[in-house]
Amino acid sequence: MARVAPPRGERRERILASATSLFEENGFHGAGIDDIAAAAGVTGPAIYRHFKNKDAVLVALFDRLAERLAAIVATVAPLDGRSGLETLVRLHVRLAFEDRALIVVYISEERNLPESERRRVRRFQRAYVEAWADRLRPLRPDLSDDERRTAVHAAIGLLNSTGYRRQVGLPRGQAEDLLARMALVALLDA
Amino acid sequence: MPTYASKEWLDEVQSRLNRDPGVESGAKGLTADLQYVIEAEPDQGFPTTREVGWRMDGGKCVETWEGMRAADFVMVAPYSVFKRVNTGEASAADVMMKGELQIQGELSELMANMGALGAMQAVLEAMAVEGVTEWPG
Repeated sequence: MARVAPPRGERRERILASATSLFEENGFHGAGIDDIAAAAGVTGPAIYRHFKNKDAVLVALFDRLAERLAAIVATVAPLDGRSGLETLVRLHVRLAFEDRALIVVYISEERNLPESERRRVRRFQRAYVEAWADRLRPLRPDLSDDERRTAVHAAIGLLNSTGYRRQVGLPRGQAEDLLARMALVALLDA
Repeated sequence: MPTYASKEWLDEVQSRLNRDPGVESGAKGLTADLQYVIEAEPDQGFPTTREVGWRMDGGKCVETWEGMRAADFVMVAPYSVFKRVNTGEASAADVMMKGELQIQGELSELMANMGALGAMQAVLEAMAVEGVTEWPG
């Protein structure tokens, strides 16, 4: 396994929040390191105390979302059967609303990650899909492994799609519930 | 009674991990260095940041250390967050989700070893429940 050193700091968090907004609005190539620094209220040179370059900021954002997705998997680990799958879906849809901009960046900017990081992100994505497919296996023994993975991709795609609309036109709780029910139908009844 | 994150506490953690059948089976396939970075919170009675870690190999805790090493998984949080997690007041997943605890490392490996991490967490919680750990502050 690759070895890592720890991150941290309140200023670092501000930088990441600003980068998320700017990458969402303007794309990775449309936001410079000075723009990110200015939006975070830090000087250009100060940003380099936290991140080697703009690539490293993008990598940190991908890590941030991966942490949260891993937390979802950890939450459902003790749960069995349908309740485990339902909790997985409901936690993911909540994340899709709470971290809407981060998910947009995650989907749109993967191609701009350095190659080694892109491979790491894809390993994580495969493991996340596999965690869902494992939950689905006992509930859909009629599907092949490939069919289960395909269904999981479709359900996650449905839940993430909300990220591309700032306003969904429904109260958030209602929208979350609707999307969760739709994803469960896709997984369990299709 | 060993103070949280002291050398004596680490020794107790190692001993308990190695006696726990859940850890032995759950962590069988895990070979990894796990590092805690417990950030200082002077107002909580934890005046300086402490770094401790342990190595799991084949279901056993084979080594512990104080200080920082390059590790497979680095968990970073303020003392009060670790305390809530290690006493069972909050789950690791909850604090991760809220961004209160950060885990750095190959998260695909982490997700594949949730059973092992859950078993280890249960051992730490048991130490708190049994009053084995002395908590600063």
